[in-house]
Amino acid sequence: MSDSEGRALWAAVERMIAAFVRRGSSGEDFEALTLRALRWQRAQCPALDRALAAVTLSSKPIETYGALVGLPVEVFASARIACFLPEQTQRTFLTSGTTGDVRGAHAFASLGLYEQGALAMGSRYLLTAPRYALVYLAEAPEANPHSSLSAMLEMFAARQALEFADESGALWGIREGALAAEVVREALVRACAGTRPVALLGASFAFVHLWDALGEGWRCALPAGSVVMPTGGFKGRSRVLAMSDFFDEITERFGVARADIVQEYGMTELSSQAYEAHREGVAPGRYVTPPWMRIEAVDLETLEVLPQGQQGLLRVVDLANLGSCVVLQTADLGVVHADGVEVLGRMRGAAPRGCARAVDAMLSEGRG
Amino acid sequence: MSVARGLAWLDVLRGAQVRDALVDAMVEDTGVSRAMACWGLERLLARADASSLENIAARGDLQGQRAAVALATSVATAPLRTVLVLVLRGAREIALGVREGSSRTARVLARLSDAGADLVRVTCAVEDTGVWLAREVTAGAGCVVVFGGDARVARLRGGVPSGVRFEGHGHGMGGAWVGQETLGDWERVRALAWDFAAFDGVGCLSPERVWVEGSVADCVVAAERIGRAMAAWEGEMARGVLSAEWRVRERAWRAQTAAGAVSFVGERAWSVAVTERPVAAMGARNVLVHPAESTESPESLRGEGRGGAAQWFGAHREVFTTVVGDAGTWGALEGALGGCHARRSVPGEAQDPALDGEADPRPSVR
Repeated sequence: MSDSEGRALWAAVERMIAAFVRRGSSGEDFEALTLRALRWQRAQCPALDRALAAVTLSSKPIETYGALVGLPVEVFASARIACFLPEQTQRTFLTSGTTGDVRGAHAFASLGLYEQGALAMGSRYLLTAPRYALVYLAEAPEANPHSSLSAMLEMFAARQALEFADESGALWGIREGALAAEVVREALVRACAGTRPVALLGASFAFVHLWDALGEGWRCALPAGSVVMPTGGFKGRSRVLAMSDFFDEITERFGVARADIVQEYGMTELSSQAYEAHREGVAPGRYVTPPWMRIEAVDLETLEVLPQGQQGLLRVVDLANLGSCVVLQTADLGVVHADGVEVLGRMRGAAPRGCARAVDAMLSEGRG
Repeated sequence: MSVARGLAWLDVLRGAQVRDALVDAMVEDTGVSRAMACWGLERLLARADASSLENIAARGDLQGQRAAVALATSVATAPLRTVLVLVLRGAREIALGVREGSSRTARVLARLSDAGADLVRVTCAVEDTGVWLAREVTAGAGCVVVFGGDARVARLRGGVPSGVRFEGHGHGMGGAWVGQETLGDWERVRALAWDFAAFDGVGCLSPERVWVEGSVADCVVAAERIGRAMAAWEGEMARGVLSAEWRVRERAWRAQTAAGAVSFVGERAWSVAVTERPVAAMGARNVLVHPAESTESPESLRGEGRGGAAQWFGAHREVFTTVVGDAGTWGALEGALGGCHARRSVPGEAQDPALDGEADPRPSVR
């Protein structure tokens, strides 16, 4: 962030993340910070300003948190939503898309906040053991630098490598556009013979491709403390599984309990993630957010925030999204409960999306 | 003979109770206001003058035949117009295929069979429209009519055997092409805006975008004028009710369009955006304005060559295009549209075509 306001906002979010890590409070006023960040972003990014003005039908700034509206995430597919110059771009993540789709692009001048937030949330809700054998059903970032999922998984691996000098790194199970099923199988068999817990993380549909490749009867028993994170659901796939069936298959195939399966709610257009926190007593299927992120259900018509327990369209306020837009309107339906957010799926008529869809398309093509 | 049957149908449609039932059905099917549905019905009936009926009946190309009509989910006067024209052309039985729970208008028409015009049958082709059409053809339908987007029309056309007449309705693209002479005349601008406002911009014949002869700056001026006219129409005949899901889609569309637009003006029920990029249209009284070098130059319509044109006109180019234009520009337009069958209209009449007007759709026999 090149100007003083941008730097001040960045520092405020860093303080929030740091406080979360030490389980303390940063004292930052979330709502005031949101309005301040959005005002700054609209001044930096004319496309964002025009888009929000078209939604609010007003060019006036949003003065109160109650009047907040989110930028529809679809805008990332049609305009550069970035609060910095194109030549300052360090990394761009692309949304999934099949042939003919226009893919959304989320540009970053720095992944600093993204990384701090992802590591803080990951170690709180996902990778809670000191050390894991990391098996990823995803492409390595070198092979797919535009995948936000790959980038986040690489951050987890890099931190573990930093903490344990003898760490050999993660195993990336998707190579040259195809699932390296035998390599994954060998890694899992090897891990099952040891005691180090496994973190098996990747796009949901890659799990299905793995099972298809390994055959109906293939099973293993992951060591105690292992965790499985499928992300992305089955929207618009060639094969659709009910989530309950999917979880049953994970528990059966990998010898883990439902409590060892942790789902993540994130998207390319965001910089932060929400996680299931059932290992901390929250009901499964409900996502918790860090202090710098809020997920709210809004009325489809008025966009006003709904009371807890009412179904609405999910709006995400993500203060780590300082380089683009801190308030995003998704097309996901959900319900906010006292202990977390329940995601019900895409609104009727909305195009399926999600990183797992890209993996599915790629693997399906690979299989001819 | 067929004129007499057509007149009998019209008499039925003109009955007060039937009109009320049809208007209610159209409101429910499309979400347009009651006033708009009344306007559509009145204009259709007004267009059914003796001369038009005679002209259509003179074609006599469906004498004694059965016809199968696959309707789109949300249609207003299309079933009425279609049945009337098919009757005039001599069809003795007409099957309307609709999705379960849709097209109340078609069901009203079927009920009218008891009122002296025993020729319309409605089937809920819920399983698969292609399967339903194949069954109708096997049962002897000599003419298949399909409404929908160009991909649907192309798909269903592919399943119709040779020797059966196939007619597709819908639009890959509907556009207006106007020069400065139109934009300088407020009444013509109002008429142009009506083409976008009528049936709330979701009709089969609704145009989606305006090409303005001149620079981007000219487009911005034009957009403001068109916007004023859209606002005026909103005051006179307000947009109907969009479903909550459509409102969500509209907000996202507006944000997307405005983000990349040169200018964007709008209120809750209409908008006008100037953009140089080919963006998909939204309809629902959301108008796109694009610059065009010259009304004399077909190339300026094509954008980036044929690939660009395909984006505007639809990938399959099966379905005719509604073109609103100044009379002098039509020649250039037809050149630009290439193989696409264009239907011409002067501003203000895009959605109020003559019953016996230019071929709608492009007839074909497979």
